[in-house]
Amino acid sequence: MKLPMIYSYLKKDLDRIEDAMTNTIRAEHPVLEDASVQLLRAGGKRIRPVFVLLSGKFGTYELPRIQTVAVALELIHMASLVHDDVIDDAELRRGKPTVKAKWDNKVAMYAGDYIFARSLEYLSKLEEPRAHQILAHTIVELCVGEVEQIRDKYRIEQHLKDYLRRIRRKTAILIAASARLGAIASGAPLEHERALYRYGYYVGMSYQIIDDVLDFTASEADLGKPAGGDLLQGNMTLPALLACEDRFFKERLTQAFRNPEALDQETLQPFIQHIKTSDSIKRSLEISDRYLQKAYQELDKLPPTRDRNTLKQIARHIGKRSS
Amino acid sequence: MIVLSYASTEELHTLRNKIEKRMQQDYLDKNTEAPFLDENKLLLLQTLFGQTNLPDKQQTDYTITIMLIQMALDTHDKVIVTTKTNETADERKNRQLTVLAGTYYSALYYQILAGLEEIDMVALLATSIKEINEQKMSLHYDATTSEAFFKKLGQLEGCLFRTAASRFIDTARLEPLDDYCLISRLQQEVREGKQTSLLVKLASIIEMEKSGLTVMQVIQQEIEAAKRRLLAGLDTLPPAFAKLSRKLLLQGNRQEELFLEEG
Repeated sequence: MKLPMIYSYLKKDLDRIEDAMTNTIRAEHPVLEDASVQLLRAGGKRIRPVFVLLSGKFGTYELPRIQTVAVALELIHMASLVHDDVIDDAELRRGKPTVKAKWDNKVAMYAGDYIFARSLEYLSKLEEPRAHQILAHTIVELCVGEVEQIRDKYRIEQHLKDYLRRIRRKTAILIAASARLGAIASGAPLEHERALYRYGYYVGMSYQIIDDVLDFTASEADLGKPAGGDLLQGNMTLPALLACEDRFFKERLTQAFRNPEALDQETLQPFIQHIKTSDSIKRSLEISDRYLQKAYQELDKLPPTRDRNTLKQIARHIGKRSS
Repeated sequence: MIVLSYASTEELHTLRNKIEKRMQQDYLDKNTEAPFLDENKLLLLQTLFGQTNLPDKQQTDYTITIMLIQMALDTHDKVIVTTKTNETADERKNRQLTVLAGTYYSALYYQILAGLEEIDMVALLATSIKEINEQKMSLHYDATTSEAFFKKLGQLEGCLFRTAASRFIDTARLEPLDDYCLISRLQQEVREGKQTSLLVKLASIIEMEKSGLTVMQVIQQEIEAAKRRLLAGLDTLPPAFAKLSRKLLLQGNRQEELFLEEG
């Protein structure tokens, strides 16, 4: 079953969120407008709005309030993507030219800042200081996570906890915040809010680990970019870290990382092949699965509703996804 | 450097320290150039909040927040327009961290105001950031004469202050302060003397205009023109802002500054 089928009953609300996003990013300057619309049209799974909507179901579900949070969170995510493409010097995102590729870095920077500002402007309709404090903290952490990712590039000597802390900041806490803010916006009981936050966190960790696995195992067509991109950028993701338990592999990679400017798709092929054929992919998936199990346990603390079941199915789908 | 009375110099120094402390992030601090903290704009904010009845702490928090936004926007302006094909590892790291530093300062603005439960202020300043980015796009794409370039730059430079001020005072009389902000920005460009994207854009316009002037000559001319406009507009400004503007206009003229200090 495809992911959107799992939450098909939310389609009407998700369409309204999509419309609100389109209206929110309207800009006066034609290039800014085009860049923002291009970003929006590139699509994406809209997993954050889905989590906001589903979490909102555990309180008093009033779409205008929930929508405020869902739109703002997805726009913040979009703003970070357009800046990430400048950071990664990425030409393609989901198989389509990035804003920085179609225009330039400047336009990408302005578009990202514009969308971020619009998201905060939009979210300010929600007079719930705690929600703003949680989100602001999350954005700061997200940023620090990205700084740490750059700090740790080409650094072979890393521990599992370094990687986990990095992906916690990079991915998990925004998904966790999505689930939590949906609960806050709907006034859900505190114990449900906490369970939803932890569910989002565990799902986010699993999601990122699988993303990092797919970077090695998925096809270029599925990824929309060449496989092994993380390693090429010097990012030590979980499969690479686990593969480094093999001393010979570690030594060769250390040597390769000594001269990052000489690295290219071709020189990295043997490393990518090694990772794909070693047990590090399997072990990474096992760690991802442990997070999913924890996510399921959190769901057990929620009332047995259709929405709880949907959250469970989403987690299961994330655990099995292949693209 | 603006000459101030002892008390305000000390106050300014304290504020600077507070801003720098708030921005601190070990890895960014070690690996990126510290953003320029425009003391002229800092003084504008100090003057603005001095006109209000806000408690001291709130004045300081607002000032820090607005300066963080200014530095976030300025930092993102430093990102190279097109990534070089033969970029070195150091250049790459610098480009990447420049993006993140700007985003980090922006995030701090939201964090401070959310912590203070000042959601209206979050919205007001977000509106300003939105407008500034619209104006940056216009400067980037639509400015085809140096006159239009400087006009747009002045509006852009004054936008954040004007928006912040609109919550506390009538901003109708503050228009000349766009020139105050423009002078400050251009003086900074001259001082740094770097090939910033702003100067590259201006150079391309000058080349089209075929005036035979260099970029620095055109900037110096504009600084003088903006000073004349600011001087002409002094009477319309509220007294505290007029006094601050006089200080900017008299910069470098020590004797006259002392007269001003003594009233």
